[in-house]
Amino acid sequence: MEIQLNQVCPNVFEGIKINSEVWNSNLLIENEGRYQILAQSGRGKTSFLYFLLGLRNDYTGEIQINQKRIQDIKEKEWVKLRKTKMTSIFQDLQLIGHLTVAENIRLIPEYAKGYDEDAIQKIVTDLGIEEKWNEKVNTLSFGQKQRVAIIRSICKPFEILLCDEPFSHLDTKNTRLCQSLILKRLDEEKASLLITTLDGEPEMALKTINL
Amino acid sequence: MEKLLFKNQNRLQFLIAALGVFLGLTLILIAVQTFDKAQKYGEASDLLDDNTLVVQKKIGRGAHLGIGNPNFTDTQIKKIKQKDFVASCSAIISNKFEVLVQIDDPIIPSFNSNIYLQSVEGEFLDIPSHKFTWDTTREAVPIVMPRNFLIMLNTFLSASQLPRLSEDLITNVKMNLLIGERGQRIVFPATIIGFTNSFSSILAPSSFLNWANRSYSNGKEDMRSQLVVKAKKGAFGLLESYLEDNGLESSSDQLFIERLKSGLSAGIIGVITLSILTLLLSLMLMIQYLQLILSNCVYEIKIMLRLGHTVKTMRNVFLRYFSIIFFVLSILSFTAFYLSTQVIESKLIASGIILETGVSTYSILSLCIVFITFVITIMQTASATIRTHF
Repeated sequence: MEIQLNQVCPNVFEGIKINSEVWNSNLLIENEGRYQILAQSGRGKTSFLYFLLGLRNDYTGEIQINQKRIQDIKEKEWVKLRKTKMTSIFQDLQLIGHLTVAENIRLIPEYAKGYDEDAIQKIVTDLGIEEKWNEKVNTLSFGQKQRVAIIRSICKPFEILLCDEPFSHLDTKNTRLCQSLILKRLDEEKASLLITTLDGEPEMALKTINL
Repeated sequence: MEKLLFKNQNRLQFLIAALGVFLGLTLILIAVQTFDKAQKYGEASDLLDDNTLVVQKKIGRGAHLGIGNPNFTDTQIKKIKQKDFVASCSAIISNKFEVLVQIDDPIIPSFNSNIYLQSVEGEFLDIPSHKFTWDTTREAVPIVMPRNFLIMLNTFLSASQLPRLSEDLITNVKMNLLIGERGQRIVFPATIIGFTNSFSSILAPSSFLNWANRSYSNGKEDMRSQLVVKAKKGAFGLLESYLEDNGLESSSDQLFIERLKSGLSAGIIGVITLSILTLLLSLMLMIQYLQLILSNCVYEIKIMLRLGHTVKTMRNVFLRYFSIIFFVLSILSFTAFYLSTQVIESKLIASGIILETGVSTYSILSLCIVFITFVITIMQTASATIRTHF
């Protein structure tokens, strides 16, 4: 998937001089490219991902997905994009607390090829939360929830993975496990990666974009 | 998905809305059915068309004192015939002999009553001429029964705790006309071939009445107190004005059932309006209930949409849920409606009025319309609300 940004600027930054490779610039996210968006808090990392997912439009400039302006993408096309082409890990994880881990994962409308429930349970075991499979998400720690969110996002088909500080509450061991899982899935899907981070993810060998 | 979207529900609001739908729907079904049956009452088998009236002179106090003749003269009849708005006009022939009607059938107790026979020219009646004719070789006299007579007969049967007779059934009852003075009565078997609201006397073919008047007259002079007048198409109003201006009136029997029907219809229209308002209010409550459910699961809806679920998929969850509710409420309302109409009809039968049996097509149609309206409204509301979170 290819994404082109032309002079995009969030409305809240209107009139403010910003030194950024994203805002008020032209940026191309290449097909199968792997990027980290490096920035401190308050620079609009989350807003950037929301703009790309079509969830917010409080910005000026233009965003194109596969040469099509976001504003011109119809509801039906968005459904297809969100179902099989774009996947995301939000900073607030967006899990449903009163459902179990299994039920949260089953919310995926379509599993990726080769990823049935048995395969997913194996990943859950690899990430050390197998005993939480039938536990309500409300009862999990933030780090455990983060692993559930990562599993849910990568078990569907996608062409780009958008992550908003996905390892913020993981220890080093689990961070490594999750990173290698993500990289494996990127290879399988031949997909792009866009990950926002405070300090960078050097182990993943990503191109850096300063926000 | 049901577990996800129906986590918080206000049961009280739902119960109030469901009760409203049930009451509104039941009321509307009863009202529509009663309205339809009242409109149809006596219509199908009436023999005079809408443009024809039975006309008589208004009777004042003077008539009792011998002032003012209730009979029509040839000149008066001719004058009416010459009016532009009159298609045809003819005097109604009455019997000049004593006549009794006798029911002689094993299924109901013996019944006889003094009656009057009348006859009008065949052109005013909607009966094939070969069915409503008589000659001395015929076994039975075809007659047309006033509907009031059937009501009276059913009241008598009801008082005797016997089953009432429908219009279909009474046409198969054996009946005789007894003509002549007591002790010298001659029996003529009679067959009912139709019913009328327009005449208070039994109608017989003019060939029979003319023959019987000649053969059994008790010496009374010709009575021509009633005319049958047919207005030209679109000129019925002119005929009514003419009657009013010239001291004439329609037969009160003819108007009684029409007045009863129009009075009843006005009441029923009121009930229908009330039921529609109740249904609209219940629908609003149901929509509020739906919106409350939707507002309680905004977060879940957003997540589902972000994962790639369609608005339609989620809308269908609500549609299925509310369709089941409406279906159950429709079944309950229909049952209540059916039982109520059975009670209403038995009361009417006890009063001698036998309506068409069965469920009116319009009631079924109303049920379908209400069901479809509810489902479409819920579908649109759910779609629109979910789409705002897309």
